[in-house]
Amino acid sequence: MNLWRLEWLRMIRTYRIIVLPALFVLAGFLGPALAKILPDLVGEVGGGIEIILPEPTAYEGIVQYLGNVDQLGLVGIAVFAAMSMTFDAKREVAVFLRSRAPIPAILTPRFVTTFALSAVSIIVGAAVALALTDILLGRPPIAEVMTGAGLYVVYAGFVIAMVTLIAALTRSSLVVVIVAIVGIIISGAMSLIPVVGDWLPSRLPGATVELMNGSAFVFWPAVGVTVALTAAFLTLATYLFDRREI
Amino acid sequence: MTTDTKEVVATSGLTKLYGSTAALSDVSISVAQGSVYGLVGPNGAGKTTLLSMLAGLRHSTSGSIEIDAAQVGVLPDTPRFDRWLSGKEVVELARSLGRKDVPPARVMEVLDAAGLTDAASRRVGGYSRGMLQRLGIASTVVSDPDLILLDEPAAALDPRGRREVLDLVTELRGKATVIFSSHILDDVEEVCDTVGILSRGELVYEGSLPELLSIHGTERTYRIDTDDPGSVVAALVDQDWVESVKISGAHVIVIGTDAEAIKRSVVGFAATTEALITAVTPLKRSLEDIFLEVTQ
Repeated sequence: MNLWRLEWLRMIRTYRIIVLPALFVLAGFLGPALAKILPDLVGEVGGGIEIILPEPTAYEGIVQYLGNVDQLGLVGIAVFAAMSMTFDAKREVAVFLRSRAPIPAILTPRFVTTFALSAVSIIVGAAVALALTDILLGRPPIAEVMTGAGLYVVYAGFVIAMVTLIAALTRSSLVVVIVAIVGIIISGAMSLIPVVGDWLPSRLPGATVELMNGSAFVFWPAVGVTVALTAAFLTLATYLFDRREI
Repeated sequence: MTTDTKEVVATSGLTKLYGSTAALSDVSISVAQGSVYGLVGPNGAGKTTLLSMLAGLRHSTSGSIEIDAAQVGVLPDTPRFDRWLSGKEVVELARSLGRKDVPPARVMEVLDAAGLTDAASRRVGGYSRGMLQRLGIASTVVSDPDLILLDEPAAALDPRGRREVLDLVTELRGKATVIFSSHILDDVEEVCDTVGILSRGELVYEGSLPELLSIHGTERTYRIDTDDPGSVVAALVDQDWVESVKISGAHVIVIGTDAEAIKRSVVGFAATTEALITAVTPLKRSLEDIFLEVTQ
């Protein structure tokens, strides 16, 4: 038994190893499926007026998937990250850990396991969306979707680091989740700012659509800034946790 | 405190401020190796703050702490753990985070000593408060720490659980240094060699229990039964062998300047006073009485 096994057991026994991937897999199923049945649904509610929509394409299947996963997936990741990182929320639990292990030894397994689970969930969700799109709507742009999923994984690491930093500033899991969601929304809005937006982490989760539209890969600045901010947030969080009194 | 034995804990002028409120003020304690030190005081006296600072979980505003121990074990007043871990996993985790030379077999050994062998595989979410307390003690002692900080370890336990904890602390004497906070004075009297009394963040007494009992009049306190307590008190206050005197119900409680002086003088006083004296009884003051007096 050690702090890595503790996190493994946390993933299994709190069912997050099932719930988070299930969220992305569900989005992977629903995206292409909704895109496929949407013309029929719209036709049904026409009320005597015949509405004819063009046949859905593979592109629409993936866009529908991304729409599902973009905010909901990030909220899911933020919630699970908050549940792992607010280890100071209960003083008695904190005393057990903090009197026995230094902060980096406590934080590292929590960050790595949450990040790994998020990454697997994102990749599996994208793979399911690709497979179902291929079956229902035709051949999707596999390389672009998987590259976009990779960029989403980088952004997920940033979100988890942001949650870790917020958890170092406040103890309540609920407050951490709320502040993290506000942070995600604000950072999403900032990505709309010309030029500056190209450098921000929030450029990454929407990259798949741009890649499918044939844009060149222009995301290196955002990737660089995201990785740097992730490292900075984790370093600052370690410092703040270390100073926090129990 | 004067002692020839090695000091494991020594604080000097330890102060902890929360804003303008002093949780601890100029506290200097000294804990000898292998001793059981009782930290007593009413709620809010600063016991948990002091223990947290000794454990490195809170920082001092000023003053210094010196700890000469390779491994420190800490038990909070109401231990809690991740609900989905089993009792055995909690203790295994505590062992793995402690000394590297403690064998895995020690886990079941301490669980057995805590009376948790049968519940070892159960998840702690289903444990009672007493079981959690005993699990906390097992996880604190599993890595054989040199210094053990126990914050009110028996407060949540039934009489049997309390007995087991006190026996465990007694067993630790000589093997580890224990600082034991409590407001159950009988427990302190039973297991501690030395006491430190905290009141409103200040250390108002530190020393051995016999010394405390002697200073505060255990052998120099008498009860006088009389039909006229008022006149007895009026007559006693002028006596040079009387340190203090008060009426307690239908009796008069008198504390002498020293044990020998009051023993020699009190019976003579009873014989000569005009009030009717029906009994003069040496009174053993309880630690609780002394504690209330010291912390007033």
